[in-house]
Amino acid sequence: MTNNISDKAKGFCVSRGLINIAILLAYILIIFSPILAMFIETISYMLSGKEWIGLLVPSPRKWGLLSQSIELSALITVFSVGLGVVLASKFWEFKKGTGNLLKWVVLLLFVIPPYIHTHAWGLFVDRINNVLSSLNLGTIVFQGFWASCFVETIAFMPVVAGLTMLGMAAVDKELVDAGRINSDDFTVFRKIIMPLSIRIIAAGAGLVFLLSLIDYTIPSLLQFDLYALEIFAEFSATNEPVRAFILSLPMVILSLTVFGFTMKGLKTVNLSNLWNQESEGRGFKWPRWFSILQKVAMGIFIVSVLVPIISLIFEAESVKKFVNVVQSSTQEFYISILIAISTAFISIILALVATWGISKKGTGKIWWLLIGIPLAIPAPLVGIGLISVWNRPGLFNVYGTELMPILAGVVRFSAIAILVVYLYSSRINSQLIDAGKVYAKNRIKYFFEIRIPLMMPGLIAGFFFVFTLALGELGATLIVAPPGKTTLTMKIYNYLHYGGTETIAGLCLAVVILTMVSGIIGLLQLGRRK
Amino acid sequence: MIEIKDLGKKYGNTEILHGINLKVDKEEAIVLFGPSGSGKTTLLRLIAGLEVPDNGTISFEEKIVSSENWALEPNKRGISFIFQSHALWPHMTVEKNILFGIDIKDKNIVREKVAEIIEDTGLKGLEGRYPHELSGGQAKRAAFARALVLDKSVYLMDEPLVNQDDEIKAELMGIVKKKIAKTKASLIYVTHDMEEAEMISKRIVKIKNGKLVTN
Repeated sequence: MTNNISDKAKGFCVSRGLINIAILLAYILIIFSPILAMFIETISYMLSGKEWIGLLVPSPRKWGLLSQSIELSALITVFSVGLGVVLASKFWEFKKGTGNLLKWVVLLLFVIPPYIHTHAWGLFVDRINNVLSSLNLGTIVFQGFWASCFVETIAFMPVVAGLTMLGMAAVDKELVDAGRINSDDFTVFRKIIMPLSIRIIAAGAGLVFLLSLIDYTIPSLLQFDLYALEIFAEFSATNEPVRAFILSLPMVILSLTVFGFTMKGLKTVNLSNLWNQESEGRGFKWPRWFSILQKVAMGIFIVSVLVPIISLIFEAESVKKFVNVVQSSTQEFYISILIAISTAFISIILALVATWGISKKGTGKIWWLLIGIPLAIPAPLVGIGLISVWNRPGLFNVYGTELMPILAGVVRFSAIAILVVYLYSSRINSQLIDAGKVYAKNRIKYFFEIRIPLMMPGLIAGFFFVFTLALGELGATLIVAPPGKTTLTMKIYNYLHYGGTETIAGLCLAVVILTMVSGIIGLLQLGRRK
Repeated sequence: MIEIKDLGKKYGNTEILHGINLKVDKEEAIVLFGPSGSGKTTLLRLIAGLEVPDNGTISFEEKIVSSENWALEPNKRGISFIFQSHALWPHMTVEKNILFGIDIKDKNIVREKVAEIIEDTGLKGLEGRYPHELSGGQAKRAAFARALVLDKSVYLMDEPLVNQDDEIKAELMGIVKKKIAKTKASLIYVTHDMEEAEMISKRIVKIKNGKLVTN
């Protein structure tokens, strides 16, 4: 009898192990097919005797671009961390009510596509320039390195601020109180709260570095050349995916290295701290210089929220014109929303499966590695890779259809869905899961009536976050979008090159509203308690 | 001496403490005894200055340290506090946990005091360990060492020996009593265990639903 049970158990374990590996392979196939295809093509390109060393070892000009990119990203990271940490220290004090709700809206600034920040700030500077020229005081040149640095800091700083807030919220209240008994509040902040949050702050810094390194939309609009743009340019000029891939390798290696460190901190984020924070009792008393710094950071934050919105509202001119612009872009709205919903849906299915795989011994570490890689790949490369996979005869006619931008979104953002769903699920009381396993009549009942409902807020949040990001995706979509099918972001990006008009402002405003609403739904889900 | 007059505290619309009046003399140990949710931890946190009262006053040596919507910072009250959890900072070794907050400039005195408390609490050989490398009992000893390393005028302890075995309880209580006698400080000790309460002091103040039942 004992032997029979043990054989059955062994058989069950083997079959679960096989399922686990099968799921892993399926994930690799879906997400990594563009990279793998490029890799294989690159090998054959190299073996064919064509020139490739010149691409892999960049020319002095390309080295210049790479070092310029690193310099810009490093500076953006330093500014974002400085601003984000000071801002988080102020927001951290709002633990209840409206203040608590509003502080998480900081994160939503991040979901506004970067090019909208660029456009809105451009409009704002134009207005200032009008005033300056009427006073004969010259004009501000809003282009190049510093303009890119400024806009990207504004666009990406919420990542650091948000993660710092999560890190600080995760510090045990009694550890803070224990410090306050003997030391002043700033010493407690410096010696207890900051060291205990440092991994998450470092993750935020790593993410900002990566995002600014692989994004080319802001610098390209502000006339500043970067390595990420060079990859796109190389593909546009030669139409050879392999050349773009080889060219991107130095940047990809750098991105992956940074991401390796970033992932360590991201794994420790506790999303359940998002809304549910215990009050520290009495407020924190900061030194005067730090209070001033907090006020400055708060001022920059308020300006960074208000300027884009007010600039866009002014430029859109009237509600009637805004409605007209939206109505004239119904087709683009329809395609964008269809793509975003499909991307989010597929990503959530993948997240559900991956969450199961991550929790398994043996494959867990491989999963973490695999999840991280797509986030570190520049968007144009994803697009180029997808073309090299699907632009061949007999492959289900995927190429040239809306499935291409959907696949691009899935490759780029399914990792976000996995992170959100996993981080949410990992905080579910394990006894609730165990009780489900004990009392459910079968596995299906357990899965659909216990597991899924417990994970539901995480699944919905993941869905809306991916929806939001997919709605603003540009870098890969621009390359893979089928002819005649334009997304909202593509339309805005194309219009942007013809200068600021009420149409661009109206469309940007519509995207801001859509991304904000879906982002808020996602955030609220994470605070839901059943 | 600690004097509490008509102290009240609310969280939102929930009244946690109401009309608390209490006096604790120098060199006196009292036990706050009551069921969970009775408000004893909140009262202790108010005395520590970790919370601000909604009404009433708290005085140390006839000097008001907390009044309506105001409280002097905890680090300016000359108090020590042991929390329910050991609350040791995970990124610091046992020694660094003990040293944190000591602002005595003479390093020899600091070294002497730390060595003495490490000896007393049986932590010798564990100074370089991090909290996660300690057993529950060792972590508790470290928390006591951190709280007792300096001479303070008020010691506040929030169920510090919950879930500890009798041997550790007796040993650590002995160290606390010795410290109180030496420093002539006041001790307010929170517990819901009557046996433990009787071991600490004869004066047991019962608290229920945010009000003192017997004083």
